[in-house]
Amino acid sequence: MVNLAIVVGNLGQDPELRTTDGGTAVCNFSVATNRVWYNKDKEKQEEVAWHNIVVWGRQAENCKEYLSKGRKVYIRGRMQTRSWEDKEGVKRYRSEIVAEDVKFLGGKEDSGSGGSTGRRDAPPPLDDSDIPF
Amino acid sequence: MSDGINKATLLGNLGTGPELREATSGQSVCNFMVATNSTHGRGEYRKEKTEWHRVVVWGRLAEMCVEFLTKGSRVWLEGHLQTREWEDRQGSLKKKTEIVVSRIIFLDKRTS
Repeated sequence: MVNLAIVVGNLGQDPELRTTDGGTAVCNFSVATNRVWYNKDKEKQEEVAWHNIVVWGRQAENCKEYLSKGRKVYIRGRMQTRSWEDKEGVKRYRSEIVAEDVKFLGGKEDSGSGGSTGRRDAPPPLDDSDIPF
Repeated sequence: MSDGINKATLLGNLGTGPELREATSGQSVCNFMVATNSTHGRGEYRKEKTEWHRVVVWGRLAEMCVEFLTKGSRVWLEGHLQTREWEDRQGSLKKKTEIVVSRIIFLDKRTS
């Protein structure tokens, strides 16, 4: 089977690096991609999509070191959705791309619009059972 | 800010039959779930995992999906990722990430 996502876009905030209880580094950040197309009347349409990115291991440490808000990055990975219950007992879902390859594309675009939405729906931190290797 | 890539590719099986609706614009739209299995790790750490993906198909393609696909059908599909956000009745923010299909290949053999 195939489960593949490729995104090229800009970081919405500085990467966050953590270490699992087992000692594996994991890095989280979000990337905005801009999609342009033309409608039936040949008018230009644009749509921004935000992607939650998870990077594990050595590559996570590299991301923390070399990436920051606004940087352009290439991500190849697989899509996954995690679910958990929040404090009110409501089931929540979060879709992420788990990176298998990250390339730093340099450049820094001034993205004044800031990162994704608030942390109200922040998922529990990833732990050792999530490690993909 | 016009240069970006947002691509998703799946090879998997439908976990639900496609449901056809008509959008407010009058266009046909169809939704279904696709399951992919993956294994990673080696030896005793080997893990198998089923991942579920929410899929949206628009227009003529949507009508073809309803005609040719059922639960369990195998498909190859390509599209882009999109996340929709809304507030539920309790005022909490909900998000759904979906693959919006631009190309789909039906991989089942015709039985007729």
